[in-house]
Amino acid sequence: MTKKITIDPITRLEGHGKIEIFLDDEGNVKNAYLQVPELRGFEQFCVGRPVEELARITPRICGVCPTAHHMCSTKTNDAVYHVKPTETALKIRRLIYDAFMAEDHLLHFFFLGGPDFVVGPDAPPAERNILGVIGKVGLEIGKQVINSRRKLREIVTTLGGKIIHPVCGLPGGVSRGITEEERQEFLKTAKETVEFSKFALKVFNDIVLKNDTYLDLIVGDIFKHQTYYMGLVDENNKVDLYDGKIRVVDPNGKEFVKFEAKDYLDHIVEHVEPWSYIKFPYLKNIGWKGFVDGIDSGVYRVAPLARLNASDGMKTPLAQAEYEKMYATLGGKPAHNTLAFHWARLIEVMYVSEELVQLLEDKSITNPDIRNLPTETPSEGVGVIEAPRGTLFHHYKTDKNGMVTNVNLIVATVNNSAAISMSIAKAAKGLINKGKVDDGLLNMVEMAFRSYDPCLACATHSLPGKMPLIVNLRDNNQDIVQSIRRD
Amino acid sequence: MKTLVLGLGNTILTDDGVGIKVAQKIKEKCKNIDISEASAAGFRVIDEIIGYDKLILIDSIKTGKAEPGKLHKFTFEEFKKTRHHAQPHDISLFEAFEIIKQHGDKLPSEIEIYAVEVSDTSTLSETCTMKVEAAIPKISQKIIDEQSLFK
Repeated sequence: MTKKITIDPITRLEGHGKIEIFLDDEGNVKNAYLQVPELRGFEQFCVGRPVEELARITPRICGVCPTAHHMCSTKTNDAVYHVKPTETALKIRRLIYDAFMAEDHLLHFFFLGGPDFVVGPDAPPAERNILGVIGKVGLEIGKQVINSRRKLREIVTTLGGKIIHPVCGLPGGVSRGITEEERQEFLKTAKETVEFSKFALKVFNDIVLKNDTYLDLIVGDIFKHQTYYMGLVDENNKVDLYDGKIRVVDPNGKEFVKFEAKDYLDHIVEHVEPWSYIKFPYLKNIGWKGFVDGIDSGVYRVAPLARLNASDGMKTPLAQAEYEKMYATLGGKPAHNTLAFHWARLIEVMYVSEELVQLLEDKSITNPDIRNLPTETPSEGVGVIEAPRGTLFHHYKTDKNGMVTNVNLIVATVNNSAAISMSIAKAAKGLINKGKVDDGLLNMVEMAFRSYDPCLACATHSLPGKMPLIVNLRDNNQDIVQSIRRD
Repeated sequence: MKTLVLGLGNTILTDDGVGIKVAQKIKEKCKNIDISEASAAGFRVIDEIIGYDKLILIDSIKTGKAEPGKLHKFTFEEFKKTRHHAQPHDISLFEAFEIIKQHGDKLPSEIEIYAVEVSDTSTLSETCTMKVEAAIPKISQKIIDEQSLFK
């Protein structure tokens, strides 16, 4: 008899995204996975539209990382139109992207993932929220987080056209340049962000790393998985979020493959399970061996820690120093500790802040050459970018008039879907014994998936009403035999 | 009194965008009203509402207990219990308000929350389902009347 436990924490009244835990006859965890809703009809929705419109439509898929979709779509449009953006356009795109990444990562650390650490994994649920974080770090710091994010968002708004859904990317360039006045203003923000990144890393150091309980959680076995790692790197194999080649390292840290975006289908295949809408991508040249760790399993991970694992270092000095410190603490590279995703996220904030300063100190960013007009006939293109939550692929085909005939996306969280399931199963295994569910289950399972910061519903925004966390133990008739609820 | 009508939702997900459509309809009739729209929630929209005296929020909702197209009304107090942040990417509106309040920014002292009962929020389409689409003119008129927006 298979029993099923459902944890249904992920938002909204209708309950998007569920965690399903299957028990065996003994009442122990057999398997677990993250169930996501299917967005129906994406392909049909896009087909027949001008391909440039996808840069406006795809960000709507996700209220969380619209800038990532916009930039990826813009890059894919470059490829479809066979046009290279101008130097200045590339700098501006990178500037917008770095500001977005810093803002998004800071939001995650302090407000979203932060409650698990800053307030503490054992804290009562009522305190494990942003108000709890502010209570712990102090109101002044809460204000700094808000101010810092606001200024970064101003960069995205000014250059992107709209804050939540930027509209600036065009095939071959961007729609708007940057003035000298703006450059000076943004440079101030960039420098402040560097300082704030130092502070965020200090918070992590003081509150998390100096606390043995937290440190044990990070370095301990419960959230550890030996998988392949994927991320974009530049020509020196340094982490790059906007451009480069996709590098994959094996669980021992050895380069397995490095490829260009256009060849992604030679390296990634999507495994399908009958019980989930979500697909489970794996490395084609290793093969699907199930939801298992190890060098023989094609499961790979993306997102901050994966990017750092897949690289040889960071491009900027302060981020590089933090990179070295992290690996020294975690016992070398690659690090398999899922909770270190949070740490890697902060190192990336440091990197993008430093890069923002570099970009803005260079006056050439105000040059007027912001676009190369496409002259070729559009056909097909693949774009890739490192979204906050991992590698994001867009692939479009068009007719000769640039009307979309075919679309394929692999979004960041989907790359991690197999690993997320594995992490949830691992966390649950220690806490469910013969059908008895330990009270700590919800916290630990939440921590496991929150590390990946998964994008689930990716789109709908119905009212933030009651958001209970529910665990249902179900028998094989789907009848609830036990229900644990947290409002 | 400076009033903002904020439509929330996603206009490419069938009924999910109804809040934005209602807000746009209100703007057609009441040119002097500020409207804003966002496909996001909580912290990602909070910057939009700073500086206003009154906020009228329009969103979609799926209670499953009413006919699609029915207009619900809530008080801000009713959302205070959503303290647990289960959504991994964002915080609740209540949390966002608290934070901004602590930050010292001016927030609307009056908040009205409307939500339209919807049925389909997972099919990609720019058109709402029939009953919801049909209800938009009436709903926008009702909100205009109730809130005396047409001045």
